[in-house]
Amino acid sequence: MLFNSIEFAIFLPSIFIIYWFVTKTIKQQNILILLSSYLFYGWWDWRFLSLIFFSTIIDFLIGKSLEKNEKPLTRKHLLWISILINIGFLGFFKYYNFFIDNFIYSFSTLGIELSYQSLQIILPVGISFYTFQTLSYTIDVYKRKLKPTTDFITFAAFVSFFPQLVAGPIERATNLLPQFKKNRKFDYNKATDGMRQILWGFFKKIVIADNCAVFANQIFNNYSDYSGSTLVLGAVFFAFQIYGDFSGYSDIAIGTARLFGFNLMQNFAFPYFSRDIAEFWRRWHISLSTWFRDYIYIPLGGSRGTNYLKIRNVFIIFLLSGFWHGSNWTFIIWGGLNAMYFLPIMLLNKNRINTNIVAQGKYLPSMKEVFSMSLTFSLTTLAWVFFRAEDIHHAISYLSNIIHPSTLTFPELITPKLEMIYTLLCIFILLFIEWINRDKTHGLDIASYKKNIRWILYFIIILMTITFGSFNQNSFIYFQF
Amino acid sequence: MNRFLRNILIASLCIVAVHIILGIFANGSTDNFYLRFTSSKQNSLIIGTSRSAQGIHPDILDSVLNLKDNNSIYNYSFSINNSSYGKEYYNAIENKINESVTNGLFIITIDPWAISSDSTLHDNEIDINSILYSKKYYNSYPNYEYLIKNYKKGWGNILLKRIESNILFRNQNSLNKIKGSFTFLRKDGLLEVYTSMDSAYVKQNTQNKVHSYNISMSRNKFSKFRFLYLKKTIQLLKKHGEVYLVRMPVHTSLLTIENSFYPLFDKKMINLANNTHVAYLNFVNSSTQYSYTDGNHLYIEDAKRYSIKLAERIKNSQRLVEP
Repeated sequence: MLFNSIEFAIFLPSIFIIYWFVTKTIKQQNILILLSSYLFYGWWDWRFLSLIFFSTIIDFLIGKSLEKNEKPLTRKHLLWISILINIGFLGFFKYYNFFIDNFIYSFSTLGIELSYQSLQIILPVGISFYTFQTLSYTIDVYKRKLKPTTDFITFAAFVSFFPQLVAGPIERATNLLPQFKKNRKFDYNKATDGMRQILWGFFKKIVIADNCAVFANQIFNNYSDYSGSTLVLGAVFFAFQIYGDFSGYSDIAIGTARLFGFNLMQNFAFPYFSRDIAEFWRRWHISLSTWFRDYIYIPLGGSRGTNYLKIRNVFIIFLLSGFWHGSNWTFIIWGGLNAMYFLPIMLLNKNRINTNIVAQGKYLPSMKEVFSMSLTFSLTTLAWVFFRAEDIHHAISYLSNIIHPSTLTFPELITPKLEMIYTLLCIFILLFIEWINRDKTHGLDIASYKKNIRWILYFIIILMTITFGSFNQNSFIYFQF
Repeated sequence: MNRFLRNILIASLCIVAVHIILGIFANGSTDNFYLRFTSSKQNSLIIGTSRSAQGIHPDILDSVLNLKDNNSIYNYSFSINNSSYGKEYYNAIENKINESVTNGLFIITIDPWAISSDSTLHDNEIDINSILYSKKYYNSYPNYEYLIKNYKKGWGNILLKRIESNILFRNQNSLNKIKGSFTFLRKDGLLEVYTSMDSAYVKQNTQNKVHSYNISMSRNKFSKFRFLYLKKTIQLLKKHGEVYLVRMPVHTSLLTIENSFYPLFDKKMINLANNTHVAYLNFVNSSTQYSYTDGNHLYIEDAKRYSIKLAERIKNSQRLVEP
């Protein structure tokens, strides 16, 4: 079920009413969340519910066994069973064809022809997200950071919690699981802020992402027909498409969870206002970045040790992050490129100089800040070309065509021209509103504003969504990851 | 909780009310099909795909054939993906005709594509993506069912499009000098397409069309299902008046593809016309007399000339069969 579908518009209020008016105990609420989450996921393809169910049982049982067992070797074995099963599913569904195809290609370059046909594997929606979420539970129990739950319903509801099941935020068991055990009471301010975040998420998805997609697709698919400056514009459109799409989903997920009394972690913190690439990665897809940081980067030694180790660790983390996104070399190069952006500032020990809010307490940034933000945005956008391209050849040809005198000309207006102009206008409004609220938890965190200002803002955003929104029920990009 | 629910209810009702109001503004500028779902039941119809939607002017037929008021002809053609002959289009036509009419005029345009389908599809999969699929209301104004199911933009865009078309129609010069294209669906069902007729632009559009029809040729095959429904459509319309089977002119490059896709098409149509006792009017031999926006569709001014020719041919055949 998509957030931007009629089905969800019926589903959410129905579950909300039953949750607050019919269920009386935490147990009943958790059962409702579990059933509705399975309905939400099964709406897409009920066959893959068995995968989630299987992962849930395995990690629940392993969690209990880890608690009972004191022997380090047995505990380690249990942890590895969980990792192998979860990563095994992920590897089969997501990477099987990639490895086989590359294996055969490598042999063919040596003159050995192997005959094999790729399997027609359907990628289960959200498998990368819920796999990482359940893994965090087992690892935290193993490290004794978390007491395993003995209540299967609670654990199953935690694994399949519908707002963040298919595209995150990837929650830590230490944050989300205890919330399933606590008594939840309706909180007007929390629910109202949840609605504001949902509204902002829909604006980002329906108005920004889906409109930018039209032009990004047109330009990327016909890149040889356009001038260098139009190709630059195409990459910028994609940068806002992916931001609107993914952070919009996170906003809707977090807002929806708040309606049910849950607090999910912040997943995006205005990343396009970052002044360097380290800051960008602290603000973009925070739940994944911190997952890699806590469960891979730090255990590897993090930024301690020799320069060689530092470089190795950074590359491992960024390449893994790229590979997590998909079984395509373009994602790996995207990860590698970000690692190369990150390395110099890390080696110069400047990766934590921009930890505060940009231009805090001021209306406008300084020229230096504008320059830093523009440079970071340009580098990120350059890397997005690999992320968006069909294959490496596509990305390189696209970038080669940008290195051309026509890049210094004014970009062409793509048909439909009027829509292109208002899409650019909407991007400007998005940046304006997010700039004003850059020290808040989301773009429309305006609880402190006067009531009439709040209502004017709601009116403008709803009006823009009604007028400029695309209601094609376009899927979210991150569903494929 | 009550305060929260009240605020949500008020906001939701406001949003619904705004949409109800915006729906009233929907007109021919909204999209290429909407108005055809809002017009009342008709006595005479032009049936077919986008070729006839853009290429046959109902007002010219009315004038030449002296079809007045209730009997004036309505263009109920959609596009190849929506109104190739099949169950959905048949239902839509059945719902669009006045049940009581027996003296109507019906022009059924045909070409090889309208009776072919993707060879990989089963009969019950054909047309599930058609705009006509699972519709209940074909003649209501405003048609909220259509807008909810098919209008994929924010409804505020209905107003924007309306303003844009008003500005363009007020300044005829800008319409004539248009770059790209602009479409407007008239109340009589004709789809007006204003597009640049710059030779390089037309050549490019024609090449694109040839490319897409070459793809269709490799993917499609003659469909018994579609042919059956073409026959059923003729039989249905014959109960309500005179029926003409018409093959419209098309650019020679596309005609070549059509002839190689279905070499015996004309023979098949002649047999069908004979078996169902309707006239078959074939205009492909006069294809070079007209200009096209993309090889497939007649340019708006040439469509007027063609409509006169078509009306005259119908008039002549009516004269021939008069007792």
